[in-house]
Amino acid sequence: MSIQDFIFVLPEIFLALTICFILVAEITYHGEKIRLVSATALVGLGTALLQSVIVMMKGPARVFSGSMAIDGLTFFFRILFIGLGAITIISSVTSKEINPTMRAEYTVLLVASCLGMCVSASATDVVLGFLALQLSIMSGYFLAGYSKWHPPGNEAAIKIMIGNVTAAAFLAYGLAMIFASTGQLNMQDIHISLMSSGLSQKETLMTFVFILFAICFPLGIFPFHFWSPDVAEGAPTPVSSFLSVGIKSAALALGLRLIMALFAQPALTLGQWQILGQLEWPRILAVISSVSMLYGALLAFRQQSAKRLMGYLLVSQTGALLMGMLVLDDRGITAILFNLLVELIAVTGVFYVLSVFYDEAKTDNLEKLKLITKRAIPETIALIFFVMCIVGLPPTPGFFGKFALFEIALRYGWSLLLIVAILSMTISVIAASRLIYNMVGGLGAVYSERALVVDSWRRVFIYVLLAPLVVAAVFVQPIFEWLGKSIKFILW
Amino acid sequence: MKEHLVTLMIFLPLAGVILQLIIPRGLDPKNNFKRWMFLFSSFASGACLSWLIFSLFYLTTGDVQAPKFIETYKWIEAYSISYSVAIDGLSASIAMLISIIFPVLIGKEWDRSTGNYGVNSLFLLLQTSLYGAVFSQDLFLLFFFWAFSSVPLYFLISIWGGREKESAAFRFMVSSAISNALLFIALILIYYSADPHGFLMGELSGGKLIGKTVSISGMTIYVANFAFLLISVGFAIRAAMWPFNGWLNSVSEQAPASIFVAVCSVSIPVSMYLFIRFAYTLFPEITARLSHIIVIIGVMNFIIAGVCAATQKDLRRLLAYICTSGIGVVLVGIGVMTSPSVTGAIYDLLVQGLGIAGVGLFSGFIFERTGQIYFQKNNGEAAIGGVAYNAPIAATVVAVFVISILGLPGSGGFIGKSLLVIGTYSSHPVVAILMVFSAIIAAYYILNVYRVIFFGKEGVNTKNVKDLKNTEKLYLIALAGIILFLGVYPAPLLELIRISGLQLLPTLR
Repeated sequence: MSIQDFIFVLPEIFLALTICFILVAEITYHGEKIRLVSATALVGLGTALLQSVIVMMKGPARVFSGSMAIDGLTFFFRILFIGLGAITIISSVTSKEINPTMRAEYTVLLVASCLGMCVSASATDVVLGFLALQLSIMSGYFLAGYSKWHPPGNEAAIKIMIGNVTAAAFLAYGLAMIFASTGQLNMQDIHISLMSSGLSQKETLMTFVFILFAICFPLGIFPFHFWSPDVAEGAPTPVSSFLSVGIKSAALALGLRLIMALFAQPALTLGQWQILGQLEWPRILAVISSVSMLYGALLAFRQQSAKRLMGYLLVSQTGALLMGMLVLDDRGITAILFNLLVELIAVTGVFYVLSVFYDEAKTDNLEKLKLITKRAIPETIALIFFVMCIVGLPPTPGFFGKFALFEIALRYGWSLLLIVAILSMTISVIAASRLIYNMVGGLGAVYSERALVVDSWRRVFIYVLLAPLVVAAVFVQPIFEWLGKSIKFILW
Repeated sequence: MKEHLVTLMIFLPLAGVILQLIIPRGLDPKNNFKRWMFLFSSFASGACLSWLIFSLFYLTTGDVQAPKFIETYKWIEAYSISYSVAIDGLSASIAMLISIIFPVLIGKEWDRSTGNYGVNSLFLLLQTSLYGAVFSQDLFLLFFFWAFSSVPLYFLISIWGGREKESAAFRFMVSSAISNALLFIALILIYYSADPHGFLMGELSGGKLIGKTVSISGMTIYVANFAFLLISVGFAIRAAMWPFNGWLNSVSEQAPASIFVAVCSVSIPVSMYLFIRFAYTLFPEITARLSHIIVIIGVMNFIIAGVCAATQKDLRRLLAYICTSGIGVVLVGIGVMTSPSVTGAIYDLLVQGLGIAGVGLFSGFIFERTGQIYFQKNNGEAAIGGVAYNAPIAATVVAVFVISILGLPGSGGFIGKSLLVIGTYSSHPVVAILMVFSAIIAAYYILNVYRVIFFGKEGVNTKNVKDLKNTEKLYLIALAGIILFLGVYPAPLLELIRISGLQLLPTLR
């Protein structure tokens, strides 16, 4: 370890400093008019974003005796998480669901969660990864239950806590088994050790199932999906999108590293892997992926709450993301990252517009939203575009993301999985059309109510979220190229 | 300039929509400027098309049959997806249908008090997406536009539909989502089995897919057969072919006249056209092998839909069944695969679309004035009748549309129908006789309906029907004029279609 190593983790250091700043400022707060909590957090996040770009220019490196890898994947996920944090803070400023007097605590929790996510994306030491994931999810408990007097929020917080404790136990046990047989904690060392003397099939099965279950929980997919729609429904609306996208992506980053290091090895062809050990684990992943896709889409069909419906659609979407992992190919991972990027903007967009509506209607019941949407037509159009993006309808970039996943699945012969995926996509399109019908069905009637007064800042923010999606639909090629390039520098 | 004309044509309507967003509401309080802008952008793309058709017509050098004015850009290189558009005789005539109908629809919605802006924007989006689907030479681009075309239609139905619009919109969405899913699976299979992987129609044509297999959970499946099945069912659903025509019934009941016209006389013909494209370029062998089955399905369609049409008491449902029955006749032409039948099929799609549009718009006319579209009550009494006494011009104009739908001489329908019968007779004489026979029966009941509506006993609500307003006169008479022109002087367009059809046919034989 050298001083040099600290430069590579500057973004994380800045995030930690931001937390300290806000805490200190809050302690010394004596009723001044201006508190600047959110502004401080945004400056901190912005600096961290800048730092991660600068660090990336220094090239990939392993730091702190190999317990963290600063590579293309880290870079991508840092941008994703810090961006997500910034968007969430901006959207909470205007939301009426976040009590302004408690904003400092809220922001600290949010940045802490963000810090945990960033570390878990770069951790190559299994214990560090475990701790970082726990940090991000534990902050999530409080965020989900932030509105204390809102029973669905409390339910979500309890569910995420109990679920996470179980999942953490699974993960710890799985990692312990790996440690018992290899005596290593660093992923690279474990990989080398497994290459020379592999586990038996039973051992591999046990460790794989444990680790998979532990990853499935934060991913929010079948059979541990139960918290994700609850959080989407119960948490304050800006938090819903933060937790839905953030925890999932953090788990995906850690899961990618873990599974690639522990259960796969590079194949002879560049950019491809093959299975390590005797277990055909992609089959297990395929089953989980297809069940979650269908299950999420079918349950989304029955929901009455708009946020909960989105939660189920996201379960289905995450199931589709797993398709990119089980093919063991660089292109699959590129497809996953592309989808995450699109989802980041689309999901925050959906929840942001819903939060605008929520502030007015105090509910997200589909029937009651009807009355709001015909008073706020530009917001409704934006919402429809975001939803179309999530379910993958053309001309949104979500369609390209879906296509990339499906194409790679077929390329490796997962044709049955492909058919299930397209079937579930169809069902989720129909489910989303129920949501959309409730938004637009009342527009045709003659009405005399006044238009909804939307703060112009909120409207501008919606356009800011909309713009990259529209641009991405046309310039898909540069994004894929950039992702492909950043994949090349992964230190597994 | 000419190379970019097709692209310009596709995106002009979209540009119209985007320009609307920029104009602030304060500058144009009565939406006058916006209305003209919509009409202009729709017309402008039509003007591009007429330029293209003229240049196609005077093009004598080089390979006359191949698609012209090709414009290709790389779009997503990683998956070899490109933006590639071109025009030939077949796509030009279907595009002509699109560019005639949409300005008419905008004219129909001219006086709408609320939602004028929304309806017209969605019409223009639909126009862009259908143009895109018709001109695409890249399968991915084609699917991109075609799948998108269901979205504006869904909004149109779900926002401006009738009392049970929710079920109509839902049925439409379910059927189009299923159709898109089937097409998407076929598309990915085709892409995957082409070597090297690609989407360009030109590279995939000529039976490149024959013999390629894919294994689905242990079963080995021939890609070409499977993809052809998926594509046929996918387009059949969107073309509202029997037995998939359920959604069209509820849409025809619930959607207002202009939206019904957008579905029946634009979206459905485009769906049939795309089926011709796919079947003839990508799967020539299979189409040739299955030609009898295609003909039989066509015959079943026109007989079953014709029988259903005879029992309808609702003007729009009647039109919906006439549409399905007409699609059946076209399908026979596709299955027979002779030069006159293919030419007739495309020409008939164009002319039938125009005819149904005319009568569909008339149903809107009568609905606005009387509040109903049932021309006969359940107890047999006439609900709408004797319209001609109060509205002679409407009666005259609708007569032209009806004549064209029936295929009587002097109208465009006659040319299309007779070419289809001539083309069919050489190889399937029985089918040709059936076609003529069913046309005679159709003439009986459609003329009967016409008699009831225009010359029958006056209904309660039709006493004070006012004749066509000026705007209505403008677009309905123009539409009737085009139909008569296509019936009197079809030669140039027929020649264009025939030449492009000849390019497709040799691959089939």
